[in-house]
Amino acid sequence: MFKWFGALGLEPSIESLRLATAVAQKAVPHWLIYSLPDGLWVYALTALMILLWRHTDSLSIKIFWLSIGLLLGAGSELGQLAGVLPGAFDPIDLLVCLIASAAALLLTSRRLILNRSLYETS
Amino acid sequence: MKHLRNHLFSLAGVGIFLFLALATKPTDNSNTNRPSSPNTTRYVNSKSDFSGKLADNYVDFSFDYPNAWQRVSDNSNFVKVEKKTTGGDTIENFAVGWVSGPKEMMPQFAQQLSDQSAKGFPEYKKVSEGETKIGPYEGYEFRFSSHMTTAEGEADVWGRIVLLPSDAGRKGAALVMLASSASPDVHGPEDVGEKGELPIILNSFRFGP
Repeated sequence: MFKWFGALGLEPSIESLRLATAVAQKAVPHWLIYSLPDGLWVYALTALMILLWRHTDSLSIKIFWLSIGLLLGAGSELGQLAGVLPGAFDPIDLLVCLIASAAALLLTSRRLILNRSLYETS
Repeated sequence: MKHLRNHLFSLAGVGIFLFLALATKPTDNSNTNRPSSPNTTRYVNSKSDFSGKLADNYVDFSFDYPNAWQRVSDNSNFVKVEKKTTGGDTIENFAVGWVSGPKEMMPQFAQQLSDQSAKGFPEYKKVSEGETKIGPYEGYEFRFSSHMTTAEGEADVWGRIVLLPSDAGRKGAALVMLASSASPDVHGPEDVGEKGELPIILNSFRFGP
């Protein structure tokens, strides 16, 4: 259960919803519940960094900040694998983090290029 | 410094990312600090309740079961809960027993359990067998069907036994599920633990103190 819900005292309500949808949960893929949220966080952070550092010429700075989302997401999984961080290593989590980071680089960069070409045309 | 503002924004972004990611992370897998729903009762296994084989192979676990279910005594398992008809016949039940061994041993244990079950259930027939997953735990299961005469007449009984292997630092567990044709939702062995009220229990099952 989300810690925030716990702090807000909403866990019993959330738990009731869980029970009501217990049968439907079986139909939802495991990775969608447990891995996709991690991937979305990595995507969001990588996309933010692309936007922040889009005008920077320094390649080393750019590489560092653009890879921070991947480093945090994949790093936490590898830390679990090594037993340094709490939690169970899941290769699907690692794969989703890699895909999310690559997707952010591809999609956000493409969008920026598109925006720039539209700006130059007008 | 040329990029000072961007560095500060980036650090703030990473900080916010970590804060949100950690704040919304699910709590640990142990169940005891998670409140039970008003519609369910929590069972938490306790070593002091057992002796003999059950004490030797004790494993910490917990699960929630619907309030309408009852705990029934069962000396061969850690716990057994059941939903009955007014006449006393089983609609669905769930028991947790012990199993100790690595993942590779589970098919062999499943065969032994299937052979034992065949002796206890009339017209026993194993209908499927293979790997499965219960919440975050990988296991091995088999399903069977049976037909018997009860106090209320003829009934089909369907079973599903899931073996969760031992893992680092803890023993495994055998989840034994039965459902009968008295259930309005379960219509065959493929429905056991998938329909009816057993999914409520399975979704809440967790190892740990």
